[in-house]
Amino acid sequence: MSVEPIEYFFSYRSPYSYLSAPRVFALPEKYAVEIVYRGVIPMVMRGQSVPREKGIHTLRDTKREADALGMPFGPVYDPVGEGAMRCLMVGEYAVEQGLIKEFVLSASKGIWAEAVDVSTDAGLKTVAERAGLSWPESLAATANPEYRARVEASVAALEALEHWGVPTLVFRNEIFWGQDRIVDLEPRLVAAGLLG
Amino acid sequence: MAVKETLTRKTGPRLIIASAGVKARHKLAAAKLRRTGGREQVELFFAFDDALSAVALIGLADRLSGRDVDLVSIPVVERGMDADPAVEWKRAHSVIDATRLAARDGITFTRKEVIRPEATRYLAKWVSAREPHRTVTAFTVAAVRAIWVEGIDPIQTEHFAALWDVTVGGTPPGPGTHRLAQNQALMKKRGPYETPAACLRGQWFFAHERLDRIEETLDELGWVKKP
Repeated sequence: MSVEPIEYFFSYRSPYSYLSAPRVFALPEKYAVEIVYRGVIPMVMRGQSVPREKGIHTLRDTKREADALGMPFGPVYDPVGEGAMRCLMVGEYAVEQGLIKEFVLSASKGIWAEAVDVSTDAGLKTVAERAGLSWPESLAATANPEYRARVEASVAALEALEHWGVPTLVFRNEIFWGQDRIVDLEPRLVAAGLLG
Repeated sequence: MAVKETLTRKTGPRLIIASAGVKARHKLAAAKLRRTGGREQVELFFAFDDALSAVALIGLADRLSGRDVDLVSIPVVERGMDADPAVEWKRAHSVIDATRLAARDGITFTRKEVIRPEATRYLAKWVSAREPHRTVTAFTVAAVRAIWVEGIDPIQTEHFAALWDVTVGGTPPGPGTHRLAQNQALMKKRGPYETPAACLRGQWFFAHERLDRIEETLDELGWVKKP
């Protein structure tokens, strides 16, 4: 059986991305698929103004969903700005090391359930080393222009799909937006004969 | 600076997260309402041109039946984030997404095209002209079924006038009696900025994707389904 790609657009600033990550990275255990990580810059850092109510609602709703999923949520340290960007850069380094699953799970849990401030070296070091990454290499990654270009390419790829939000999964050009849409993707994987 | 950072990035989120979910005061208020023979209300802000609103209306009507809970359907036309550059993409995606969500409940949406808000504004005016009550909600559910499940074009006003007669009785309200502006203001006051949004005891949910959570909340409040 050939392995098919699923593109996974992810933001470290998105609590819904955090909720989605364990289930997305578990898909290859069940189906003949490969998760193609695409870290993207948060919407508010791309010039989109977001109403205050959206932020409040997202936190409350994520708490309810996290409880239903049995995932911890809070304490939080909002990484918007430098923290989110540094995680994106280290994420590209983690892809090269074959440790992106580990880094995404470590960083997103740190941000959304442990209040780790990833804008600081101490915070970023904690989540990077927990994922099995070298700290000096991770720190160097935060200033690597090639990684920055890859992140911007992922944003462009999302926009080319005429899409905007995260988490988003793309399988055979079909878009599944939202941590609660993984259940809609799975029947497509079964229909494609990818159930292992 | 450090204090401000901590407040906005850590303390503020902590307080908001702590406010999520059903609290003791909500349960007490619901119990008091039951003791006096009252009924609970779920307010649903929705739009006829929004396929996701159709999922919410049809799903909530089903899930609320058998409970002492009224579905109060409140139509709006204008909604969404200001200056949203992705509004057209969102409209197109919402039809695809709604079709998949409806399929989870075994419902087939036959309409595949986006509807412009202007095309269904008259329906929102009709419903907003009446005090919310069960017959108006029955019309609302029937109308979104007609549009999204049966694929009837909203331009066929006579079809929807006949639906009004069957569900509410008589002819639809005349022009100039609608309260769309008041509905918009009420939605803003409650918090939601987009449809479909269900409000229940100070919490709100994007109803099309939180139908189970709304049911669980009602159960927690003691508004259980009767056998």
